[in-house]
Amino acid sequence: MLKNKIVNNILIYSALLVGYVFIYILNIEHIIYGVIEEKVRLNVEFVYQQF
Amino acid sequence: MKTFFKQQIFPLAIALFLCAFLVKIFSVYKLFTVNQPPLVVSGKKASFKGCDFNFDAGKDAELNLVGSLSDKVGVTIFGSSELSNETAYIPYNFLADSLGIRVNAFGHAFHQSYAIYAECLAMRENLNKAKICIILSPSWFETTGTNIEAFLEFVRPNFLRKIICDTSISRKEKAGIGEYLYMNRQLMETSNSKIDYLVNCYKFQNVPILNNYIFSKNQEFGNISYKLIKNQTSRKITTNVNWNNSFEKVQNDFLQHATSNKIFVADSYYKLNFNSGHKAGSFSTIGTNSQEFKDFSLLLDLLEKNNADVSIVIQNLNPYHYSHLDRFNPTLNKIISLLNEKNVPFLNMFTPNKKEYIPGTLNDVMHTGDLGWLKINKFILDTYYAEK
Repeated sequence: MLKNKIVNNILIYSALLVGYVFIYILNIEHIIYGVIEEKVRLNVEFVYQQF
Repeated sequence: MKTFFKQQIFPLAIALFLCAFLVKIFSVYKLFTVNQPPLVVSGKKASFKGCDFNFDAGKDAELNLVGSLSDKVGVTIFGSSELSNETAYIPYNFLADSLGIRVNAFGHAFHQSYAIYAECLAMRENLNKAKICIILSPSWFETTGTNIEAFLEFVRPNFLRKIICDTSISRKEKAGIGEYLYMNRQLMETSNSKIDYLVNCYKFQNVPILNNYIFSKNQEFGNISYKLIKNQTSRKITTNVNWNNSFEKVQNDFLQHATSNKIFVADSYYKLNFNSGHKAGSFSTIGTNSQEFKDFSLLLDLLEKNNADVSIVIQNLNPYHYSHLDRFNPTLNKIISLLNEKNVPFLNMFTPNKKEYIPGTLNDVMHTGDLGWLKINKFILDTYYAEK
């Protein structure tokens, strides 16, 4: 019973960590779709008039 | 406690080990990598003189910067809004047309220390012995540093790619750019792979195994190099200028066109901005360790480390318009100490005192006028081309 619980937890933690690393850090979209560059858009517009 | 350790901590440790092992395998065997081919940006020649207000022109503007930094005889100027006010006395006109010196300037409003730092980092291999003059504005130090919009306008994707791929740029420097992008990420609606990469360099710089893997992924971006078939250089340089006569002439010219007001700004500017009466400005209270000062210090370190021949001009603000200009003095003193410490030649045009202010130095409340430009031209000539 304890052994099963440990194995389950190893699998869960591994899946979470690998998922985090590959989706978030290694940007798996970049691996699947290649390089699609687009112009970076901003949420704000800075006021240039003051200078 | 013992059960918790067995059921949670032990599996987590095993999972971390497995994950690290997997990352290591990916790193060694370069699995699932998408390699971009190397990019060569080439052109026939850069311009002999002029100003690129930003790098939106793409290849041509980038090649102008490469060409300007590669030619060790001419001068590269980095500045901000004052460069937009094109007159016959602005260095890229005056020094080029009258004295035969190649001058390329780069910048417009909000082009501040950190953007210049990132551009220079991307151009690191061309910095050695490059004559670089940076025109500082006291207004920069009222801000919280370079804003993200200006940064992205000047540090174009090719420059980011160059920073990522250049193996001589340290991990700390790459992580530094990543930190800036990370701190401004909430202002970006979208991102791209280069920004994501640099942000990860920052976020995971201290995570063992993963940091090595992330930094090694720079190979995927494909190296970028610039190739100029023929670069522009200075013509026969003359240094024979009667400065005192020229100063007097441009000051008289200015005063003839500044008769409608008592704050010594051009009539046209006064009419446009203060038609309903002059409203004075006030210089903000600024700390002596502002982000802009840190960025400026970082920029100087980079240029010093790469043996650039750098000089600094500290511009003025109009004391007839601004009150509390003495608030800039503590920062100014720190800047001057830093420049003296690094043995960097500089021209300090700043004064908070109305009596010391020479009308015509500025054209309006903050932008250099013809007299100011002539003084800057003399400074550049004395610094780089004086007969020794």
